[in-house]
Amino acid sequence: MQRVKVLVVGAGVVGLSTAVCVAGKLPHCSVTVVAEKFSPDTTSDGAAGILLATEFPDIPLERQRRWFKESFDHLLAIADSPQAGDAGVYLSSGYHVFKDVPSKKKPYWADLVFGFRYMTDHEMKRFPNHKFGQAFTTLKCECPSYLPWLEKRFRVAGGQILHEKVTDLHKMALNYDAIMNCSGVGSRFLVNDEEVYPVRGQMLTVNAPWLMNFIRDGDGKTYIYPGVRYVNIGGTRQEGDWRMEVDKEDSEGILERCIRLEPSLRAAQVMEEWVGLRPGRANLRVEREYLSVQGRQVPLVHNYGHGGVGVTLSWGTALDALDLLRQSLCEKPPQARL
Amino acid sequence: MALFHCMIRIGSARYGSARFAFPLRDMKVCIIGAGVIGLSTAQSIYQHFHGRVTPLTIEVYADVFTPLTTSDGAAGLWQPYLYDKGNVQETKWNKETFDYLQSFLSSPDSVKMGIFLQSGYELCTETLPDPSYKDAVLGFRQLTKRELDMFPGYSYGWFNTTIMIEGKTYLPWLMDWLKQRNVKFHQRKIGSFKELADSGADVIINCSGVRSGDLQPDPELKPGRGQIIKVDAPWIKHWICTHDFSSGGNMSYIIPGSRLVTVGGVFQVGNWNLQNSSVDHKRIWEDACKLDPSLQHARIVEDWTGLRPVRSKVRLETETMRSGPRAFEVIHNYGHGGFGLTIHRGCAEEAARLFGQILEQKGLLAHSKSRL
Repeated sequence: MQRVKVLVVGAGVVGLSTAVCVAGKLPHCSVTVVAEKFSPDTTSDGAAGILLATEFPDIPLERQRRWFKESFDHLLAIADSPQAGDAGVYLSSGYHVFKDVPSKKKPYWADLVFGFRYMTDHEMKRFPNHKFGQAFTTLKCECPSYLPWLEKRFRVAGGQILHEKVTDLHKMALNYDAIMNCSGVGSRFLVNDEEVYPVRGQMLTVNAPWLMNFIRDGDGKTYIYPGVRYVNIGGTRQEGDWRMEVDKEDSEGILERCIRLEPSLRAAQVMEEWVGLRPGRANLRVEREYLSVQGRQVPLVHNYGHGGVGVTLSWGTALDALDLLRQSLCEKPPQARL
Repeated sequence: MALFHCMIRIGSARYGSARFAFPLRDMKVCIIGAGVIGLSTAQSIYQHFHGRVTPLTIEVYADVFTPLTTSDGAAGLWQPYLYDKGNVQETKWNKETFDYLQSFLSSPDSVKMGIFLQSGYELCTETLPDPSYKDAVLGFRQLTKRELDMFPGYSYGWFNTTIMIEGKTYLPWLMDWLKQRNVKFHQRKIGSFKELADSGADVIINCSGVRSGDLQPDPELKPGRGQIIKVDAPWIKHWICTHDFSSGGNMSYIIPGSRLVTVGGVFQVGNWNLQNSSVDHKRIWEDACKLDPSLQHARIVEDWTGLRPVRSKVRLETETMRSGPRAFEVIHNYGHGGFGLTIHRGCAEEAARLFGQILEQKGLLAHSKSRL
């Protein structure tokens, strides 16, 4: 039986997760990942990778919960295995503090993480500028380790890697039976999706090995996420901002805000500054369309627009994308090339 | 000799007491032991009495200093034993220490002191009453079933956030603090209290830990041998402590530090052997890998063995001794078992209080001019 050739565009956490899903669960597919950037140069590499999520307004909450749960369970199994160190996946506990009490005190994923509760008065004493807090244990998934780990699994499953910037999907579709578009913020140009916009994020990596718990301000703009070797502190959320250069004022602002939350950071040495563009979109897009290519209908499965929740929803959305691919391959078997 | 000394003092308005039985050149306090107990006691005495007793000389005598003391090898987790068995004093001293350390967490010194917060799991093989320290630590709660599912073999437990005090950083910080205030250090093994008294000590504070029996036999003091493995596993961010009363005290734990992860443990009462045992290493390692499978790919850095100064309760009391015609005071502050770092400040403050009582009795505190 002829192998079905699947092309995955994008090698960030969504692209590689999707590729691993397909290669692992559809053995009759031969999968190729094509991307301009690979780890450590993807947007995912700068993501703190803490599993928590904001809500998409128009996607049924049950579907978002399922994405979260599937991603969490998948990563938890890695964290609880000898692979944890290699994959950079582990449990992380901490505080989510709010200057004003949020309208929704319990997010949809409260029961999906561990030990979700409100912070005690004793715990809130540390944060005099904040009125309310949540405490929980979730997972941290560090892409500079996780992406190479995924790539290894992908290759072991027979996957191929191509280093190339894709600008024309029709052209790629000439040689493939199905395409999965995981191009993140690049989808704005690749598929002309004007709903995609960058949400610029700047982040600092600091040396503060005494920090074990995360602290995130509910506004999403200030966070301290202890990583394996260094601590990621941030950040910014600049919508429509395409600048990839480090902004010194942003760095100063980040340090100032983070030191206010965690004074011991005064003693921390800054190791690196980093900028990434979150693939913003009102709603994440996981859906299928078809490309007409020389009389063939080539399924094009989209899986992009994850904003700041790429790592958090990576596995769950990859599974959905896989389902859409499966459906397409069942409904319309690939035609022989003319 | 005594007459000569008291003649120096005649006419001094300060010392009205008729008790000229000991030299009053100055108030010399000699502390035996430079682990966390010895150093913190020196600190408390300085803080309370510097300026109130002049001159006040504080000296520390020890044969081992940081990083070779028992305190240096401990992982540094603030955690008392589960239940105080009626030792409410100890629960009070533990909490005092926690609150004291917590007050420094936001200060610029916290990193230099080696203190920081860390959360973790306490795992039990049966339902147990809440521990004595549940209100001292932060966010104490029971573990949910989903959390317990991560730890096969354990059916109950707690989660909380506590303070880490890393001896290898805290002790040097204490020594610097003391040196800046002219506390002198002497590397010397003290053979007897008399030896120090004869060389001029007015008050001796015995913080000699597990070897206190060398200075004064104490059948209640025994070594509680512990062995640990230090591992490079920086992705582990929670401590895990197990409480299994059927294990004879040898309870597995994993405690991440700022550099390495400390894996233990054994608790062998009566065992003085300071050598690392490969049998213990194997058991410790296997148990820990069951607790956290991610350790299997971690790099082992080194083993270490220490002797906890185990005693039914902490000995913190004053004893008057004699050397010939001279009487001198010894304040004992030893027997802190596996909770020295946990309790150190509370005990240091209590030792300082006992010292204050001695000064009062001798009319040496500035406010006791009325004794003339």
